[in-house]
Amino acid sequence: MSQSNELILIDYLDGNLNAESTLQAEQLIREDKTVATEWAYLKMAVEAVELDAIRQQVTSTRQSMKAAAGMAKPEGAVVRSLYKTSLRIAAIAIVLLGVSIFYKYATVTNASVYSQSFVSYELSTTRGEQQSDALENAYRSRNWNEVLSQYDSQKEKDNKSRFLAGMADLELKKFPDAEQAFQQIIASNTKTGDSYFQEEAEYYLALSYLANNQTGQGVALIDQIKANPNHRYYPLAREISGTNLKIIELKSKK
Amino acid sequence: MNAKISFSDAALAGAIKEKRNLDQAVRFLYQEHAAVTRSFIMGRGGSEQDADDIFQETVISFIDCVQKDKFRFESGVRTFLIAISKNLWLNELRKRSRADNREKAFETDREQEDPGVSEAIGDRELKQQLQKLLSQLGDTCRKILTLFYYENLSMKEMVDHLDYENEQVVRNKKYKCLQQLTAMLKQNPVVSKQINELINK
Repeated sequence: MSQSNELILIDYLDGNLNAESTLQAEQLIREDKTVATEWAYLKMAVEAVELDAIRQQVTSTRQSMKAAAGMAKPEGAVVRSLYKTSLRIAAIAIVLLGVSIFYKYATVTNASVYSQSFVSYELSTTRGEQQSDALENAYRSRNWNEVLSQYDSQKEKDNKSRFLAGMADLELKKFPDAEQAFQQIIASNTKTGDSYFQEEAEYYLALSYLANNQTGQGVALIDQIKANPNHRYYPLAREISGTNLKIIELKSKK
Repeated sequence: MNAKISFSDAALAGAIKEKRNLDQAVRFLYQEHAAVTRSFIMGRGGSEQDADDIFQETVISFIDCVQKDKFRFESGVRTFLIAISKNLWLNELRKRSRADNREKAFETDREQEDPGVSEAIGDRELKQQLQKLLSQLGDTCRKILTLFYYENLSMKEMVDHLDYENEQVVRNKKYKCLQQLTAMLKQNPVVSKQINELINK
């Protein structure tokens, strides 16, 4: 996105625009998806700041209350006994559970797990990085075919360009090509001992495996990411249901 | 001063909305409403620490909700807080993979009456990620963005709170901090997913 549009958005966010410019900014957001995305990130940034400020206030008050009261004891904490369920309710619950398991088994596929887990990769723009290359510009414009064309024409390929090409392949549903690109990143890092785009490549390679029906490899890689809370993609991997992964593994063995 | 403060629901919402006596409002929320939430959570497998954490999240969600005019008095403050706490705890239980019959039985406790409750809770995973990113932003940027976007101070007023020479320097710094934060958001997969879903809706 151009720097002038970025400045317009920030002025709009800060309420610095006059009525006419406000209308123009709103039109820009409605009509240009790149601008709309940037706008969503700016609003998310403000949301983050507001929540952080509230959290700081609450934490500070809570700490001072604890200090003053010498950790006040809970008032009247009553531990209730667990609910007793009747046999009838239990029987209905078992039937419903059976139906839901059957439905889940029938509807969960590699494609459904892939589509629920795929997140487009956003390439950040920061001031002073306006000289980014044609491949990155094409990526930012979501011109996936141009990304691949620029990648093919590059003499010196690095992990960033490999990764962006892999993501463009995923966006175009060219799953085998995407898989190859991500594997190249991991192979390159293994060779050099670097970790440049390693975690990104691992997550999207796992998804590529699923999309290519190489279920065992995909699930193993997702499990590996889930086992590492420091992995950049841990939060996304954790959201992938373990039951769904078991189902597609089971189906793949049939 | 240990005098007990008292607010009506409307006065409490007003104090939070206007950010007047926010400290007193938070104290009141804890004094009046923490115990009942604690009973609920500890009666359903939670520890004392769980109860503390959930109530803190409840208070944060409630304040955020009030400040954004999303609390519409469709229920009283106590009912609303209890509903938020219950929902947060049930979500937490699910995350901890206690998907057993006991949890299913508790699902009947989930409050459905007030549509504002789920809005108030939002996506907790997303909120946790946002919190993590803010903590990585650096104290100066955090302060500048808080003064501007939360305290709503003007650039002129901000100069008094910061160690900068004039408004222009603060303005430039605020711009850079905002850029830095949005760049961090773009690199975060949970946030990116949320934005993608929003844009492609």
